[in-house]
Amino acid sequence: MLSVYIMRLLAIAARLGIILVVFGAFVPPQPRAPLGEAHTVETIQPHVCVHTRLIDEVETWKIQKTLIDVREMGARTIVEFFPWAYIEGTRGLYDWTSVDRIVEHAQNQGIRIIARMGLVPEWARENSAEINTTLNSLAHTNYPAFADFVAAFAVRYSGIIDHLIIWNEPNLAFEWGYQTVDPAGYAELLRVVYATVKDASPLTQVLAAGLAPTLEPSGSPNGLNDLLYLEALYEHGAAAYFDALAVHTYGFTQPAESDPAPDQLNFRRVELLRAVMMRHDDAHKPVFITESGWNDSPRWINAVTPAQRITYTLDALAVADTWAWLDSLCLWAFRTPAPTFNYPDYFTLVNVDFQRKPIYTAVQAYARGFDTP
Amino acid sequence: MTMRRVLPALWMWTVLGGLLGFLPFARSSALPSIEQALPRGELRIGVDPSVAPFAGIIEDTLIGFDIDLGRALAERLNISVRFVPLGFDGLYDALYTDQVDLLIASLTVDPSRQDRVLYTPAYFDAGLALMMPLDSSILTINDIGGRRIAYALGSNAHSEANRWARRVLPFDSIRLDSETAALESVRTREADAALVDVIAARLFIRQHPEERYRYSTVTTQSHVIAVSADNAPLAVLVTNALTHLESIDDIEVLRARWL
Repeated sequence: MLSVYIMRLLAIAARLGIILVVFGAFVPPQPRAPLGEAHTVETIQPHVCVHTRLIDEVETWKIQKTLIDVREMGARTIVEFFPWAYIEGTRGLYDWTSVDRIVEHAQNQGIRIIARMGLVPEWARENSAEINTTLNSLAHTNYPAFADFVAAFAVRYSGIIDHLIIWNEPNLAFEWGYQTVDPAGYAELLRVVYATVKDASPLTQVLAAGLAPTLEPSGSPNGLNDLLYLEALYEHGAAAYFDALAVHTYGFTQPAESDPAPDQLNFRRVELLRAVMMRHDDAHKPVFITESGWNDSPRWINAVTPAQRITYTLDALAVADTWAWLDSLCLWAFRTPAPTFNYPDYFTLVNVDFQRKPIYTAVQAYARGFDTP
Repeated sequence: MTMRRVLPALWMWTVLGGLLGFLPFARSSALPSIEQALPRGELRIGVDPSVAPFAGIIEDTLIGFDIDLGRALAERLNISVRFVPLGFDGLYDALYTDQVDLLIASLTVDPSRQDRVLYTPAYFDAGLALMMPLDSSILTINDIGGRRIAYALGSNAHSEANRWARRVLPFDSIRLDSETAALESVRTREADAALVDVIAARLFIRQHPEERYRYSTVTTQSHVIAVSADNAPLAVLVTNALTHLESIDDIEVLRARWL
């Protein structure tokens, strides 16, 4: 009797095997992404940088293709987001797979990575069992856990990724877990992370987060003016806990040369942030503009035309080249894995389907010294 | 029981269970109550007031198609409404953290969020369209071979035209600085048609009532309302209200007002 069942099971298994083979023959093979000969970035403008969005890519060939396009544009550096929630979904268990494949392909193209760290796993969120939290809600008691993760990252990629940005735009309520923004709390986070990272990997450079350019007044539920927030960070003693400042500065509807002013949001607002650093004797620290650019959506009220976007972006790169205190100017965003079907799609340089926009060609000509198209 | 008997039984119970699960919402007489969906007695709508003509702020007042749609839905649901202005990046987090009940913000269905968000049927299609004079012989993209097609440099229309260049008869591209310039080129007969989004096409036609144009939609970009997956009763009520407003042409009236 038993042998009959075994025979039936074997017959079913054989049929399944045939079905899998037959259907497998109709599945198109995935494009492969073998690491080829090592490249270097050819550029005459080493401060040109782009913010990529590679971590959510499913297919490796898209990571490789993006990085090839970045290299061919003449950008030596990328900023990439490495979410803590993706890597340490279970406390104490690190899965570096998605980071490794980005790192190996970036190295293969000769591209330097600046890593942005954030996005909290569920186990580390604020009261996650009781209230609705976002992926930016980090319980104060878990600052050391975040620091341990950042330190583990620093050690693993030491000598490859040496610049780590701690958090993103903490002066916006939604980036601070939809809680009241708290410069003292962020200064404390920097203190905990800085000490842990430096113990583990002394050469790693810790960057204070880029603040969102905003005019939100003190007490606003939405956030706090970036100039006020940076001032408050210094007042809470944060200077000792970062090696460089990341800055987000967008042009919105103004040309690159527009004069900065505390009540204006424009590209040169970075000069006002720099002035805050200087007032606090921090002039020796470099600045990395890790998000910048213009948007050419026909619908967004803060956008410009595509031609203006090209002109303003090239002007901004030229202005930035004169700032000795600036390391990189990273344009947001090179390409996204999926469209939003809204105005953020008009920040990109390359489409989801890898079409290069005119802005790409213009930046490439600037970075590589080609004739202007 | 053998597997041959178990499998049909499982299928039957699965199908029956599914039907029973939907039954409470399937009949209009069994709609969830507004008190059940909105115990606060208020409908909080998250909007992004930076996308014209859907939502904007003029003299501290929110205006736009999305705002009027929100008011119409609240009126249909017989509940007071409060709009919460948000930045695009913070929309979904506001929904997840229960700061708003729904989002009306030119959103399209995002498959990656469907574990936490329920979407209503579309209330507007903002896809690309070919706009041409009413008497044009261009009816579909199959007719553009050898014709002059204007679009904005670097726009979604530019990308779409690049895709077409690989699969329709060759056409002459006229790349201009803006959608407005592309539409104007049709008016001056420098182009046979303009490839722009439906919003631009509708606004242009509205601004030139003395002239006769038409548009033909060539891609789809459906605007939908997002509701938290934790509030299925509200999703049902909003979908029901939206369907009703569409059936009595109230939404078409709003479209005509703003677009």
